[in-house]
Amino acid sequence: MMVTKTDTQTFVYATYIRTTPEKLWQALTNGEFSEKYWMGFRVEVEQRAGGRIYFRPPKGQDAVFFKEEGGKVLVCETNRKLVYEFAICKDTPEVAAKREGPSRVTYELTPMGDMVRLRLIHENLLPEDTAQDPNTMKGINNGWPAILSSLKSLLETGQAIPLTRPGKN
Amino acid sequence: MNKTLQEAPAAMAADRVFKALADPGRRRLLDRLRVKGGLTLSELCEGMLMSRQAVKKHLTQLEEADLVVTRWVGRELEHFLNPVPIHAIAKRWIMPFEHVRLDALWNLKKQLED
Repeated sequence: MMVTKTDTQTFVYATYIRTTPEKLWQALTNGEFSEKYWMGFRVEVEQRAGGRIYFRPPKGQDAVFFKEEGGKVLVCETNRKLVYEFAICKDTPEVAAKREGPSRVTYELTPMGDMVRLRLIHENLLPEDTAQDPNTMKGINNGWPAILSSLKSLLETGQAIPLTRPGKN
Repeated sequence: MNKTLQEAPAAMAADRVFKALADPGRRRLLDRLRVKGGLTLSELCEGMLMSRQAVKKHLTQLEEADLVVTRWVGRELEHFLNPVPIHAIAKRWIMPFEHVRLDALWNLKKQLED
């Protein structure tokens, strides 16, 4: 069978948040914070290029779906930019065979007056990544709009929006 | 802080979103970007019954409403659908836990109409 280059997908999201770059950076890189808006996941980041980033699933999640080794931090400019390999869920063997390198997430923080624009780019995704399967956490990246809305609400009002996990609502 | 003052920017943002969505041409552009992200202005002009200038103007309006975000890749400006403002509007009127019932209704409608 001939192997053709896989068509990858890119998603770009943006939101304005009434906060400071320092507070937003903290919210993006701190587990206590992420737990409240990132579907219960605790983020752990070694804040340097070449460090690792982990998203620890909430208790009660079936560990069999998740990668323990985390992803690599590619760019780390405190309060400005974070680029990392998005490695949270395990691939099925078929998907693993198609994947040319892990997908990549970029956070860009740009101060604009009394607000900060957060731009999120998620690239090198396979069509399988965005397909939702209610029995797994596949399509987890479909949750970005919900995660960003909840993050905005948490920073501006102190209240996160209660999230339902993909496929579990 | 005064609640009205705090809500004003959100209300203005919502106004821009509703105005941007109130045009079939702009909704068509959003639909195109929903199917495939990263299209350039020239690609978006294909199959649109309007001038390049008009498409550009619509894209600017969509960008001002934050419904479209762009990024430069080399010399090409790529456009992406940004659903975050629509999500925020939906969250305002849809209560938590209503999703199950709304999804059920939507599935029923889809099954009956397809």
